Parts: sequence; structure tokens; C-alpha cells
Amino acid sequence: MDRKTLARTVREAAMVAGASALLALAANAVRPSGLPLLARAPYETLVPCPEPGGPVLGLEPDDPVVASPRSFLVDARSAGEYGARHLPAAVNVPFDWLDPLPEEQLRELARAIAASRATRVVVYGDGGHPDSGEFLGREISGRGIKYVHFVRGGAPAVLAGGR
Amino acid sequence: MTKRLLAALIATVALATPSVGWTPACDALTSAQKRLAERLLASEYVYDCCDETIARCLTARPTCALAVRLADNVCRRVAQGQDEARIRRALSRRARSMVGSGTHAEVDLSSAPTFGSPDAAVTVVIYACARCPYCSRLVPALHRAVTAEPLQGEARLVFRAFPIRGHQDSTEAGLAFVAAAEMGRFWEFLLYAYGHFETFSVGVQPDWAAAVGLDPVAFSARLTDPATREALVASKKEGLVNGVEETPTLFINGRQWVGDLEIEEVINAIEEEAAQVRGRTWADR
Amino acid sequence: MVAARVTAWLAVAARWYLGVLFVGACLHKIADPRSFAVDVATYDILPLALVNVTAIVLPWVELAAGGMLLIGWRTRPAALLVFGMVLVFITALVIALARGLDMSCGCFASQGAEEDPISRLTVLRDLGWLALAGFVLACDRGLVGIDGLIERRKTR
Repeated sequence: MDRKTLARTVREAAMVAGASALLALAANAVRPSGLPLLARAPYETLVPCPEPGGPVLGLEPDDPVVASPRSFLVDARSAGEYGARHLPAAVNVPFDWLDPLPEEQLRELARAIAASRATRVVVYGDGGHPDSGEFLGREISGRGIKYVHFVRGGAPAVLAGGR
Repeated sequence: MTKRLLAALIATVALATPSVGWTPACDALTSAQKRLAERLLASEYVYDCCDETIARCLTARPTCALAVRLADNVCRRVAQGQDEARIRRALSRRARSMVGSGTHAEVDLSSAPTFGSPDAAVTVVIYACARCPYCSRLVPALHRAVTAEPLQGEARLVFRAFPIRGHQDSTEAGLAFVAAAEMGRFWEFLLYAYGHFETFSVGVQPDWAAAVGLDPVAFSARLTDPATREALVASKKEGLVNGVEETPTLFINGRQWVGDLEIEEVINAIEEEAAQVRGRTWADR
Repeated sequence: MVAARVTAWLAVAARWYLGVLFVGACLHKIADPRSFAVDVATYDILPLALVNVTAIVLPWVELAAGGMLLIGWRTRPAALLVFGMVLVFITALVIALARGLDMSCGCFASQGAEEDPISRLTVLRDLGWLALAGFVLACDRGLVGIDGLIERRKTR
């Protein structure tokens, strides 16, 4: 592109920009949702950081849903506690209070749930205060797993029956 | 006849004068703003010490101090250009916070770093994440407010680390806060860390520790110490039990603050609580 | 000859892509200027006094440039405008990334920050747009569009 064309291009670009600016300001002046030209107060660009998590439903330990074959059971306790004793068919997904579940583990869990054709996920944890089962449930619910429940009282409650 | 005329005149003048004008903030409003303020004061209720609208309470004798405080709050917001819906929301959330829902926050004060006079009227518990931008503004501002005016001697701060799950490096930064607390230079480290918020990296934290007078080697050792992690987990669990869902979350004398988190509003609420507590104590004597 | 033809058609494709992109992107900014102002303010680069004016004017310039590219009228100035705007966006992005602004954490009021968090990939994407705009600037021959029509009318 030669100098003359470039100069003309720049000129025309400036004209388009100028015309658009005028249009923009005019449109802004007439519409009710228009902005003041000078912001009166600084914008609040920061908000409190939300703790991620999704909805979970609490279940009592003797709820038939817990033992239902249509429920995908998840044990939120450590591998050791799981190894010692766990509900049959429960899958171990150890919950860490600080670090989120690794993406790969979450995908594996989602695959397993889909493959099992379960209609819901039931998580039980240590039954503590706060309950690791509840919070693992909230985490996976927030990360896309649907119909997540947790068992109140956790493992001590569900395993109490000596099954 | 003249007496009646005079009385009528006085009455007319009294009625014609807008009721707004009880605080300097209200006096300074433009007439358009005054109309909005009057509308709000006539329809919003005081949640303690008087059962009427703010406007009515202002004319009652003796004047309810809270009514004056709320009127001032409304007028300041109107002056700032806030719209009606926003002001009403802020008032309602403030009321909810100050009246309380009944559940008190349980805080382990044995390990939590505190700042301020131990016999202050108000204890403010702060759950914050070390990598939360909002916290990096609010917490130092609160610290300043307690160090000098206006909250010196009135309030003491209690800090509880609440690392936001999944937030980049929130755990590592939280561990650093806990380590600094264990090593005795918590508030210096917190202020330094929040002050250098944008230059954060996991590796730079020992340098920050050194800058506030801590031994960087010992500090780094603590970061990997399982006991430090346990303390951080305990702090996070405590927050979860107390219903913390975002950071910063404040508890004023055990009640969760769900109002505006702007520093002026928070300081105002703390002053209100301090006045309340002192008033009650005085009445007990 | 063929090469010239192919280049010309590629330029048309690039024009249309950029046109759709910019017109599409500017609509929500025109519809909700307040929200866009928050987005602009979040970058914390412009002084407060300039935020509102930018939020008001920028989307309309995007609309004009994008529209012109689509209909093929005065494509060179339009491409130059697009080039300039993308350059500005890249600068803002690089500054924000250098400051370590992690917008995906939900700690920002800006809706745009949450839905389309910025990263190094965003810079690469924008560089791609920059290249396309440069390409149109250099190689567009007005094959399809109003400029071309006017040219052909003249030479008839």
C-alpha cells in the first residue's frame, strides 16, 4: 500500500471512528439506561470470593434410597478407613478439605456413574462436624454431577448395622 | 386571637420544614435527594430501641441513637447516588445482621491470631482467603481502623484462614498465614502479603517472611509441616461449620454480618455494636 | 492469476469472519453499557474518568467496523480500525495477565470475566485476529461487497 492510500485509509478510519463515537454518545443520551459520561463513583469490580459447591440433599442413614440399587455409593473417607470397612458397592473418593478433586478423578467418577446407570449419587463420609460426606457431595455437585445426596451421620451411622 | 394565629404560624412552619435535617449528612443533600431520603426514612423501620419508622423515631423523645445512625447512613448513601432499591437492600441486610438469626459462631480463640484490646466491646471474627482480592482490601482497612481511629479500643479482630477451594494457590498462601501466626508475626505478614497481592507466587513467600523479620528457612520448613496443614484444615472446617460461603465473611460479636462489605459500612456497624454493648453494660450497673 | 484470485477470496472470508465476530461481540455491550463499564473498570488500566466514555463509544466503533467489513464498504479503513482495536485489547490483556489477574475465580463483579476468563490462549487468539485484520488490510480486492459493486459500475 502506498503512502497516499495509507494516509487516505487512516483518514477514513478516523472519520468512521468519529462518526460512530458521535452516534454512540447520541444514543447514550436518549436512552434511559444510558451511562453518565463521567462515572460518579468508582466501580465496585471486586466481590467476595465464593466457595464453590453445588446443592446436595441430606438423607437419614436408614433411608431406603441409601441401600437402593439405583444409587451410586461414594465413600468420602481416606483409603485406609475405606479399606478397613465400607459399604458394599461403595466407591472410594477420598475427600481433602483443602485441595479439590483432581480433574482426572472427577472424570473417572462421572464415567463410572454413567456406566452404572444409577439415578442418583449417595455420598457418606466421616459423619463429623463438618461432615466430609456432605462437603464431597457439594464439591462434585458443583462440578457437574447431578442428583447428589449425602448421608447424615456418615459412615458411623450407615455401617452401624453391622452389614 | 394573636396566640392562635401565632400557634398556627408555628405549626405551619414546622410542617413545611422537611423532617430531614437531623444529621449533617442529611443537611447537605440537594432538594431532589432530600425527597428520596424522606421517602426512605418514612418507610424504613428501626430494628432496635424504637418500633417506628426512622422518621418517627427521630422525632420521639428521647431520641433513639440508632435512628440517628440509620438516618445518617441513609443520607450518606443518597448523597453518594445510590438508588432506592440498593439502599433498602443494604438496610434490610444490616438489620438482619445486627438482630441476628440466633446461631452464634463458635470460634477457637486459642489458636487464632487476634489484634486489638482484649477487653474491647466488639469481637470481629474475619474468615478470609489469602488469595482473595476483596479480602486484600478489606482486612488491612479493618486493621487500620482498629489501630487508630475510629475503632481503637472498641473492637478487636480475630483472623481465621479460610482458603477458597480451587482458588489458585489458596492452600499454599493459607499455609503461609498459619505459619506466620505460629512464628509470631502474623499481622505483619498478612499486611505485607495483602499489600503485595499482585506480585504473589508460592516461591516468593519466604522472601515476604524475611521482609517481616522471620527466618525464611524455618518458615519454609513450617510450610511443609503436616501440623501447619492440620491447623489450616481446622480453621477451614470451623468456617464451614459456621456457615461461611464466601470470603471475606465477618462475624460481629458472634453474629454473621450479611450487609454491605464496604469498609465504611462495616466500621459503622461495629461502632453501633460497641455503643449497644456499652449501653447495655451501663444499664446493668 | 489463480493465486491472486485465491487470496482475494481468502480476504473475503477473513472479512466476513471478523465482521461477524465484531458485530456479534458488540451487541451485548450496546445493550447493557453498565455491565460493559464494569468489565472495562475491572482491568484497572484506564482512569475512572475515561471508563464510561470508553464503554459508550467502543461498542459502536466495533459495530461500524464490523458492519463495514461484512457489507464490503470501505473495507480498508474498517480493517485498520479492527487492527487498532485488537491491538488495544491485546495490550490490556497482557497487562492484566502480567498483574496476575485471575478472573476465573468468581471474585470479580464482571460477568465477562467469569464467563470468558482471560489466559495466554486469549492473547494467542487475539493475535490471530490481528493477523486476519492485517491480511484484509493488505490483500482485500473488494471481490464481494459494495466497494466491488461500485468499482464494477464505474468500469462498465
